[in-house]
Amino acid sequence: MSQVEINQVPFSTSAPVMSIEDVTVLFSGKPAVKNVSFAVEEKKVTSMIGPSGSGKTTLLRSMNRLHEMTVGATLTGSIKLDGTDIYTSAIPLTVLRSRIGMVFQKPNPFPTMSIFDNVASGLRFIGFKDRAFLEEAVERALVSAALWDSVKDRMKNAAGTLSGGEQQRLCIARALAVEPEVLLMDEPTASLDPIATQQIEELTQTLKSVVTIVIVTHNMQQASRVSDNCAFLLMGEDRAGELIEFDTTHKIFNNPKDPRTVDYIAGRFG
Amino acid sequence: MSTSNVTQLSPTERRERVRLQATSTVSRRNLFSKLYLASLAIALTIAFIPLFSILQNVIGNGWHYLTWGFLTQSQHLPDLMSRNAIGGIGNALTGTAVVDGVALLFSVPLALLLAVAFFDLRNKWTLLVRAAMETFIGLPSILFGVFIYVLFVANNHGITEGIYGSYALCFIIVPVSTINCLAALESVPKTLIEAGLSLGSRPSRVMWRVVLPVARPRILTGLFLAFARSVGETAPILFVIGVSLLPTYSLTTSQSTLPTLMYNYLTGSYPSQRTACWGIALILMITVLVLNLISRIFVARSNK
Repeated sequence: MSQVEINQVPFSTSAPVMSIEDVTVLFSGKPAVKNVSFAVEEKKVTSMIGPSGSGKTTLLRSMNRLHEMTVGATLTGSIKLDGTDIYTSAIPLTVLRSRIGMVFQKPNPFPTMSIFDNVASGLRFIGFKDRAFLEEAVERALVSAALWDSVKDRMKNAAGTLSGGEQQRLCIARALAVEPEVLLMDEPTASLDPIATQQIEELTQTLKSVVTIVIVTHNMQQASRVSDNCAFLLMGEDRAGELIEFDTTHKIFNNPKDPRTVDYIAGRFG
Repeated sequence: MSTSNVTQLSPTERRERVRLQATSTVSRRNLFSKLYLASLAIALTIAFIPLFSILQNVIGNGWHYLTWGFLTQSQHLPDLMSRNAIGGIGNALTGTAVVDGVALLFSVPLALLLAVAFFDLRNKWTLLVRAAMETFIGLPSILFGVFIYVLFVANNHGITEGIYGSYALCFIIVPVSTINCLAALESVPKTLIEAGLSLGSRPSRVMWRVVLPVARPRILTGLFLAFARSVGETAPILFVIGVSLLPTYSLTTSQSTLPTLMYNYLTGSYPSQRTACWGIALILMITVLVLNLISRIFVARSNK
């Protein structure tokens, strides 16, 4: 997809807050996902679906430059946040990562910290010390993550005392506390029970009015439930993932253009 | 037995055959199991006897030296009047505390910083230093004593100082502690580091506020054990710290530590000093035991 096509995506009434432009992610020279282009609409949920190995998680991690933790990781093309390429030094890496937050597949609260300290950790890392400010920010984040009522009386307890679903909402609150513009979610419900999964899915619907959400999921029913736009990725013969189709969720699931999308939606391969 | 015969067996015949084989070797397998267990028991006994014997001798011969007087008084030479008046080990206790304590003071920050360096940076320099350190662990400790001796004592008119012993002990504590700290850091789940970085924290903050607190119990255990080992080190510090008959907290004078005192007593000419070594050995054993216990309690508390 060229630059012109991105801007002509028919449903984009709002400007794209992030745009992926001809991105190829390579590990030690081997592409893991190649030539991907799509726009992430502001205050909407964009999902990335596809079978294992299609590069969805690699692409997601390149959106906050976390894939650089792997030695030998490189990227061609550009990923833009509000029009600025995030791979140049225009935005400092630490600032970038506070603007684009991430929630992981297995909840990972910091085990040596209390619930309060976990949610406040992002702000403390940046340098905030004022207790009143932190308390207010923590409460706001926990309210947004629909966790405040459960934990407001046990803020000093260790984070490990929470259930799986609560821990994941704690991680969401922790990410929200630094006021990101985009929240990346890497299969956030994969390790949760069905009730906790439903709670997180409902949360994405309330959160999208506050942050733009990009969610990777290998559960396509989840994608059809929660997302507004959907990107379908598939691993090609050269073992690199590519973008097959990107459109509104409604179109992808009811009237997809590419035959491979049709097959995947119909469940003919996983 | 050719293949064609086997395939001509019916299922019932095949089952019979297997049952026959199983039952006919039962007694042989029973005997083998018994022999196997017997050999394990013999190995345990062989290991137990010397251990028990050492414990029995040390405790039996040494327990009556566990008196306040023995622990606090300084040593003095027995005179003709009372051949058993050897005094105590107070001077060696302060010497051990000072020499080993200072060694820890130098070693612990260095080991921690080195472990963090090995963890964060992967280039040829860190790999080189790391390889050297792993070699050091296997070297005989007397080498470090000789090195310090030649460097500081031999060229300096033979003046021995307590701090030289601390230097020599650093060569022993730092490599072991660094490797232990590094293992502790690497045992922290990577996903916690990713979470910290994803919040917009700079890597050094993630290291000190997330990784080190999680690794802390294991690091502290390793440090306790390293300290316990250094308390008993004799060879590296023997030639460089000299002898001190009085308890002193100075590092620039000669010092005695528990192991060097034991060496001096054993090679001396007073029988009462030689038997007092049982008491010193018992005290050393108790010290190491207490340090091990403290580290275990600490780990248990932090795992709760």
